[in-house]
Amino acid sequence: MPGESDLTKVLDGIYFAPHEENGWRHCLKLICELVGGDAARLLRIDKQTEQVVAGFPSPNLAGKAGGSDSRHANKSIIGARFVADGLVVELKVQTDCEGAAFTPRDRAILDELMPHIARAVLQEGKARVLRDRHAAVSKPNQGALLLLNARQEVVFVSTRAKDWLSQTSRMALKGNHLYLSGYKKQTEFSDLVRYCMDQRGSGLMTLPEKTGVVRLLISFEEAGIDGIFESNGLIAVFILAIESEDIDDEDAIARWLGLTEKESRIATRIAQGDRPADIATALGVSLHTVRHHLKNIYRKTGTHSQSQLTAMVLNLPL
Amino acid sequence: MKKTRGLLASDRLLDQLYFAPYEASGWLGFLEEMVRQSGSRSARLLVMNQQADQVYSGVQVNTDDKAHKAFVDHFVNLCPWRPGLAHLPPGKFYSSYLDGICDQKTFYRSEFFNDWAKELDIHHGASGTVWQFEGQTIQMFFQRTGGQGHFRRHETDAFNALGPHIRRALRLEAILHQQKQKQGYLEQAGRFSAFILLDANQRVVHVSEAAWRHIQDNPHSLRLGKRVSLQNGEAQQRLDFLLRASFAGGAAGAPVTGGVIALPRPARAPLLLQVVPLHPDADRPLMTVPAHTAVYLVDGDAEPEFDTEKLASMLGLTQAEADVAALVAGGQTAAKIAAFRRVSLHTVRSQIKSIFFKTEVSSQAQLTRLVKALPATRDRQRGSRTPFLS
Repeated sequence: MPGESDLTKVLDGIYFAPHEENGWRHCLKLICELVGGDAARLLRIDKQTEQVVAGFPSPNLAGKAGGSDSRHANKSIIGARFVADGLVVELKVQTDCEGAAFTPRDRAILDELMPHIARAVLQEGKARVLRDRHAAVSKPNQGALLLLNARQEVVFVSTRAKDWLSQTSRMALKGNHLYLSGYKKQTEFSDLVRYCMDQRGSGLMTLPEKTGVVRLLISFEEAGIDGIFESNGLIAVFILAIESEDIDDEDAIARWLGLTEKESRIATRIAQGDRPADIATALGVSLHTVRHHLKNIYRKTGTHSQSQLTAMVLNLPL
Repeated sequence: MKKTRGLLASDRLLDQLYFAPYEASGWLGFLEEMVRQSGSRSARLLVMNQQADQVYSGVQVNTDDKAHKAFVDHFVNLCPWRPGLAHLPPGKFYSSYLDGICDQKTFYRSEFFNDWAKELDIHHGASGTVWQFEGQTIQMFFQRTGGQGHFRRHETDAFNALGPHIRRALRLEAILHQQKQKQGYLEQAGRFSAFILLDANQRVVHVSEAAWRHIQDNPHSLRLGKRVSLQNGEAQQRLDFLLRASFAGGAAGAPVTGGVIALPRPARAPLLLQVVPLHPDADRPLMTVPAHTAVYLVDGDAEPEFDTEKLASMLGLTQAEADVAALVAGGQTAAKIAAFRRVSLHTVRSQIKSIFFKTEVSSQAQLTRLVKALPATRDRQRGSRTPFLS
């Protein structure tokens, strides 16, 4: 009879599989250990066609050659199936050991585990929507932003923040903690984060960089969500490197607004606050040409003024 | 294995329990099922502080809101059963009647019974500290009327058999809580958070709050049913094309970059729709991918509404300077700002100079970027939390 702790481990493996890297593989490994199998396979099957929709091999099975099934004629296999709510899940465990066979007790264990596995598979579907939502907010430029939870663990790093962290020597992410170089800065940072958390406020600190001063804006953020746990809120760390914050993505502007290369250059400059006359001088063309391009830009973007165009360019997720 | 098959081990109950972290009122459903299956009068699950003498939040069934609030605010610490919970080892359920917590005579003499429980016909209880997590103590309480009788040994045993499952579900709740908290922030305060997620059949899977606002503001440009429908025929054709392309792309292996659709609006800059295929991690193929494509909405001429008070405190500006900084970030010229604020152009120029000095920027574009990078946009009607305890 499996011990209580073995069972707890397997059930943990099953229910946390949707939330962990290689969760299902790990879970299959635990199931193998529980019933003394060598390899296992978890399959989702289409109800109508009986075709396998998706599957997961345990790590030991994944390592083997594809034809292992036919070579080991004397292997023993047990399986269990779960059918409910349009979901068909099948679990198969095999042993390669000669003469070894599964007992009815092993089969009973698999039968017992199946409803749990099916539940976790359905939950994975729900967890996925959350993951896709996360992918959707991670794709556009969210600025250089880090999010820390109440324990000061980093829970989100935006693409820009990742880029910046890879270049700077001032700050590093080890595990899920942020480290600043220099004891004084580290202390200042930790104190400021704690202050913001306690006071639900915000504050600025600076980091000297070769390219100029980088500022960290640390701000407490309420994150009101439904749930039974208290929401302790988050700490947002904005990395503000003003020097590099100029609009530089003319290609992207062209793509977004359907402009030519020249037009997007002019639109960019308008958005930066340049006047048409300045732009003409800078690009070495006549004011007339700039105005002509501008007219086309207005037509293409559906805008009617420089300030409207500026707002539009600045609203783009670049 | 047999241990989990006790009094309270129906698949229905475990379904309720394990789906609780994933459903909006999942814990409520679980408690209802528990009350039903355990023959209790009422039940509650409370998230409390470490010492368990203060209630943060909770879920309860079969006690009216007023009585529950009275319990949470006042009677929770008067309950004669509670000292037992504090002194007996955590992780187990105890019967008020059997486990020597408080004899029935003393209970009936208590203020707790006479001022609170009597009216609700609560005579017996079973309770336990189910989990402790990051300074929060989670306790569960089941109550019975005099007629239902006390919780017997085999019944607390059944609660205890369920204990590991409850703990596991609470751990799942904690994982999802963390994810939802992060996601909630990014969707509410993120810079580009207006998006709609579509599945492989182009059906709507998720609409962010910011996207809802755009949809409500532009009823003549786009509508949302099971699918996204655009009023402009040409735009609709292009959307269909882009969506088809983003699904076909995965099969062909070619990267699909999506594209932009401009929805014309009378007298306003167009509303922009960007179609971006999502490529979620491919290492979890057990369930079909729910969302294939994100459609981002960008309002061409949306004037960002800045919280200038927050801006002032963040950047150390005066209120007037913060107002000007917000207008600059909104794309206004100095002359327009002067006219709008009814001050001289000279005043605005000197205010801008002072802002540049204080924020260490050297152009209006830099200032715009800085202001926009700050979490200082006004708190738009954020989805208010629906507390369990009201």
